[in-house]
Amino acid sequence: MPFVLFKCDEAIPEREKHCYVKAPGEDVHEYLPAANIATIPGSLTERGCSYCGAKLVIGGAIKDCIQMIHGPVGCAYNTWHTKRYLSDNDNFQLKHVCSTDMKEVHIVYGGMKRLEKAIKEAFEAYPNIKRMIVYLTCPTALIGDDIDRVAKKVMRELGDVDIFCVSCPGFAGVSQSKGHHEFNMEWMRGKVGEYEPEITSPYTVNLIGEYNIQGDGFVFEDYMRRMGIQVIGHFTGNGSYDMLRGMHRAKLNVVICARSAGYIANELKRRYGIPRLDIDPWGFEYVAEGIRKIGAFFGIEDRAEKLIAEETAKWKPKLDWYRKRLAGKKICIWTGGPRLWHWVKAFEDELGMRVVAMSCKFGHPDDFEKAISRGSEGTIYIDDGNELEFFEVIEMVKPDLIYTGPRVGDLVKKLHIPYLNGHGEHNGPYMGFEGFVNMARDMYNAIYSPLWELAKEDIRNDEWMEELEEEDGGEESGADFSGMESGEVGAEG
Amino acid sequence: MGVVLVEKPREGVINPMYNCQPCGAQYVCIGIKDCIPLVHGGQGCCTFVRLLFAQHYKENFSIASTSLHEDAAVFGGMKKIEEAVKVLVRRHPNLRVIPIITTCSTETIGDDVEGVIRKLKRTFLEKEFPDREVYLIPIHTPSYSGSHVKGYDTAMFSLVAYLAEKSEPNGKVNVFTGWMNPGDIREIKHILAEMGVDYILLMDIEGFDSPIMPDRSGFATGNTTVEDIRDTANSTASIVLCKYEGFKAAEFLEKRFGVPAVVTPTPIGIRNTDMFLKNLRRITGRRIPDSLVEERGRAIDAMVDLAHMFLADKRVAIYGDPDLVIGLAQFCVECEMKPVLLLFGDDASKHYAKDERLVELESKVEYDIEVVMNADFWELERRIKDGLKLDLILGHSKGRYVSIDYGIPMVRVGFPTFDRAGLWRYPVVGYNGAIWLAETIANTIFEDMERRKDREWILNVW
Amino acid sequence: MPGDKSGIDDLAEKIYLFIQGKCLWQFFPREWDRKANIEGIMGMAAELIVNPKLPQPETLVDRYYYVEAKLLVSDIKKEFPQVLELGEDEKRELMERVKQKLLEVMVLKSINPELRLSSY
Ligand code: SF4
Ligand code: SF4
Repeated sequence: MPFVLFKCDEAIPEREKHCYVKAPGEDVHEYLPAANIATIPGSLTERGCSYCGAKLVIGGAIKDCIQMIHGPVGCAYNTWHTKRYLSDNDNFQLKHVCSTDMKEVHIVYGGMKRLEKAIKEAFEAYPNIKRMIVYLTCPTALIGDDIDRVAKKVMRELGDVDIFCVSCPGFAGVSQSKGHHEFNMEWMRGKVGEYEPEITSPYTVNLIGEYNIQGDGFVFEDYMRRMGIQVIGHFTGNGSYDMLRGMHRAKLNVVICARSAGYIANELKRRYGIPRLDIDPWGFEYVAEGIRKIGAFFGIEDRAEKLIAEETAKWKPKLDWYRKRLAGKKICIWTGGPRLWHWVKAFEDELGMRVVAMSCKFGHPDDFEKAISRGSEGTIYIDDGNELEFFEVIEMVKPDLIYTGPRVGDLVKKLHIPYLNGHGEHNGPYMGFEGFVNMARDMYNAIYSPLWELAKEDIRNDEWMEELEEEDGGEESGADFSGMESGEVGAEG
Repeated sequence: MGVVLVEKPREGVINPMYNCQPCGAQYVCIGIKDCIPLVHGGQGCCTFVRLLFAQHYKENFSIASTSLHEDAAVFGGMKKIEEAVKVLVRRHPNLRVIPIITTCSTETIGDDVEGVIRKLKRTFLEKEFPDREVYLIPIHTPSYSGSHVKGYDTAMFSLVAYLAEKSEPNGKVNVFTGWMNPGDIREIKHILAEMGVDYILLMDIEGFDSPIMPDRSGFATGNTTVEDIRDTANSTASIVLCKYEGFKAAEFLEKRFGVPAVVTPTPIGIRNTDMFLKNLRRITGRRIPDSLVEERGRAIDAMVDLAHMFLADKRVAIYGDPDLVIGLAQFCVECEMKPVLLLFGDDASKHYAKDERLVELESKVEYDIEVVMNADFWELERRIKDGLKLDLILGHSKGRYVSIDYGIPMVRVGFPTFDRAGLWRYPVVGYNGAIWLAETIANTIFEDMERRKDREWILNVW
Repeated sequence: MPGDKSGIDDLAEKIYLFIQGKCLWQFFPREWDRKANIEGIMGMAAELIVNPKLPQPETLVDRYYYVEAKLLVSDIKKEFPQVLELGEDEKRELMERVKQKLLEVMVLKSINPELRLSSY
C-alpha cells in the first residue's frame, strides 16, 4: 500500500503522491512522497511564505539587531509576538519590529527613499543597536526596490552600522523553506568572514539550525560550556549578529535543524573545510550520541562521558516514570518538517509510543527519506497536509495526542484529542536530557488530563441513572427516587 | 485645554499598532456561515492572519489561500483563483460563499478578480454545479492604504453591495457591530432582545466562542447567513455601532435601497449605551424596558463605587481601533479618569482625530488630550521614556511590552488580547460592558497597588 | 555463519537497515555530499573495524568521518556481535557491502528529485 488518496482529496487527485503509508520491506527508493512542490491553491494548506522562513524562523531570533521589514505594515505586524525564542539580551528580538509601512505612492514611485528614512529612524530610536536585517516582501519585490543599494548607502553614511539584506518575498518558493534558504545563502555570501571573533577555547563549534525556543539553545550552550567548548556562531537562537559573521572560525558545525540551516553548514564545509555534524537533540540516546561525537571530534571523550553520566543520573529516573505511562500511546507529529524524523524514533524507542501519522508543512524529499527510514510500517506520511486530510487521518488512526501548531491544535481539541505545541513547545525547553523529560511530562499531562473524560460524557444520557438503580438494587438507599420519571429531572417548568 | 493633534514624526513604523487591510476583511468574512474566505496572494498573508485569530480565540478558522508562487507573481495569478475556487467548491459540499480577498501583491500585479469570477460562473459553477449556488464575491484590500480598519469596512461593504436584494420589508434592524468580540455580540443581542427588536447582525460572531461537545460537533463559526445579508435591503433601518467599521455598507443600503443609516456612538459607557437604546427606540418605536433601566442602574452603581475613590484623575493612554479608542476615552471621562493620550495607527487617523465624539469630549475636559495620528508603539514608548506619567494603558496585547517594561498597569481591550485568558468572552459594550470595564480596571489598579505596596492598605476597607 | 557468503549478505542487510534507521549522515541533501559522506564514513569504518587503534586523522573533515565511523563501529559491535567472529577480509567485505547498499539506495537508485540539483 504505497500512496493513498484520501476521500476528501477525490477532487484533487494530485494529492495522492503526497500521502504515503509505509508497507513492510519498503525502501525510500521505492516510494517517496512528493515534497517542496507548488501548493494546490484553495487546499487549506498549513504553509506560510518564504518571508516567514527568513524573518520569523531565522533572522528574528538574532538578539542584537533591528528587524526592518520593507513592505506594507501587515507583514511586520503579523510576524511579531508569534515566537518563543529567548535571548540573554532582555529579549530585544521579541519586543521590537520595524516596518517601512509602504503606502500607495511608494508602490507607484518606489519605496527606497522611504526605506532609507525608516532605517535611519530606527537606528536613532535604538542608539545601542548597530546592526539590522532588512527583509524584502511581496509588494516591494514586485516593484523592484533595490534594498541592497539603500543599505550600502546608509552604512556608508552612518559608518558604525552594519545591515544585512535578504530578499524573501512570500511568493518566492512554495513555503517557508525558500526563505530559510535565502537567508542561509545570503548570510554566507555577504556576512560570514567579515568579523574575527575572539577565540577562547581550542575547541570551537557553530550551533546551526537551533533557535532557542523556550531556551532549548541555552541547554546546549550549557553542555558546550561544561565541556569547555566555545560556541562561536549560534545560528540563530540567542545568536549575535557579529559572532555569526565569524562562523568561519569554528572547527566543527553542529547541525540541529538540517532543513532550515543545512545550507549554511554545507557552504561552510565547501568554502572553509569545516565539517558538518548532524545531530538529534531530542531523546536521551540521541543527545548522548551527539555529545559523544562532539567529544570524540575534539578528543575530549572523558568530558563528554562525564556530562552524559551527570545528566543521565539526574534525569533518567524521571523519564522512566513517564515512560511507563506513555508506552503504547498513539501519537501524530504534524509540524514543519525535521521534527518528524528527529522525534519519531525517540518517541518510539525511548518512550515506547507509536507514531501513527506524520505530516510536514515545508519538508523536502530528504526530510521524507529520513522520516520514512526511521518511522514505522503502517504509519502515514503526508506532505503539506491540510485540514480535511487531518480529519480523515484522525478517524483512521485515532491518536491519543497530536504534536502540532496552536491553530490545528485548537481544531483537534474539539475532537477530544489533546495537542501539544510542536513548534513553540508547551512548557519547554524540549532539547537535551531535561528537555526530553519536559516533553514526556507535557505528553503525560495532556493525555491523562481528566478533562477528556468529561468532554466525552453526554450528561443527557440517562445511563447513569440505570447504573445508580443497579447499584442501589439490593441495598437500602437513603433517598428513593426510583419512582421518578426520567423526564422530570431537570425538565423545564 | 483640549484635544491636541500630532502626527507621528517618522516615516517608518516601529512596533506596529494596526494590521493590514486583508486582515480586517478576513475577520468580516469568517463571520459568515458556510463561508471560506479565499485570500489572493502569497500564503503568508493568509496563514499569519489565521494564526493571529487563533492566538486571540484559541480557535481555528478556515481561510484559504491562492498560494501565489513565483510564476503567478510574474504572469498574474488569475489561474490560481480559478484553481482555488474549484478545489474549494468541489471539496466542501456545504460551502456557499467564497469572498475573494486581494492583497498588496495581487493588487500590485493588477489581477482582474471580477473577470475571473465571471469566467468561473460561466465555465465552472453553472456547468459542474447547476443546482448549487456558490457566491464568489470580490473584495479589494491592498494594504498600502488604510489598515485592518478600512479592510473591515471595505469587506462589509463589498459583501452587502454584492448580496443585498430588495424584496418584502422585514421589519428588522440591520446592526453593523464593527470589529467586536463574542462577548460584545452576546451583550448586543441581549439588549436587542430586551428591547424586543428583530434584527440582522453583521456579523453574528457569537459562535466564535465555541464549546467542546460530547459528539465532537462544536466548532467556531460565524452565523450570519447569505439570506441575512441579502435581506439587509429590506430592513427598517441600519444602525452602525462603529463608524469606521461598517458605515460604508450601511450608507450603501441607504443610497441604494432607502434603508436609513443611523450611526450611533459605539455603545461603550453609560451615555453611549443610552444613545444606542434611544436610537433603537427612535427607529423601531419600541420602548426602553424596565429591565434595561435596572441594568443601567447597576452599572452606574458599580462605577460610583469605584470612580471617586480609585479611578478619579488616573491618567490613561488608549490605543486600538478608532471607535474603540474613542468609546473608551468617553468611558474614562464618565469614570473621572483622564484619557490624556490617544493613539490611532493608520493613515486615516486624521478622520478619527476629528471625530465629532472627540470634539464633544474636548468641550467636557479641563486638561489636554494628546491625539497621535498614524501612531505606532514607539510613539507611546518614547513619551513614557521622555517622562509622560501614566497610570493605566488600555489597548490590545501587541503593546504588552510597553506595560511590562515600564511597569504601567494595563487592561487588555479589543483585538488581539492573546496574553490574557478568555477576554473575548466579556463585553465592553452595553451596561454590562461598562461594569466589566470599570471593575476590571479597578482590579488591575488594585493588584498594581499591592505589588508596589502603594497604599494597598486602603483596600482593607472601602 | 562466519565465512559463509549468504551470512555476510544477511548481516550487511541488517547493518544497512540499522544505519537507515539511525544515521543522519547518509541523508545529506545533494549527490556530491551524500556520496562523499557515505564513502568517507564507511571507508573509515572499514579501517576502524579491523584496526581499532587507527590514529585520528589530521584534517577536520577526515576527523569528522573518523568520529562518525568510530561510533558506528562501536554500535555495530554492540548490536551485531557476530561481526567480531569474522576474519579481517570478511569484515572489510562486510563493510564494503553495506557501503554499496547505502550508495545504491541513497544515491544510485534514489528517487529524491532534489539529489541531483546543482545548487541547493
Ligand atoms: S502584503 Fe499586504 S496583505 Fe500581505 S501581509 Fe503584507 S501587508 Fe498584509
Ligand atoms: S505579502 Fe508576501 S511576504 Fe508579506 S506576508 Fe504576504 S506572502 Fe508573506
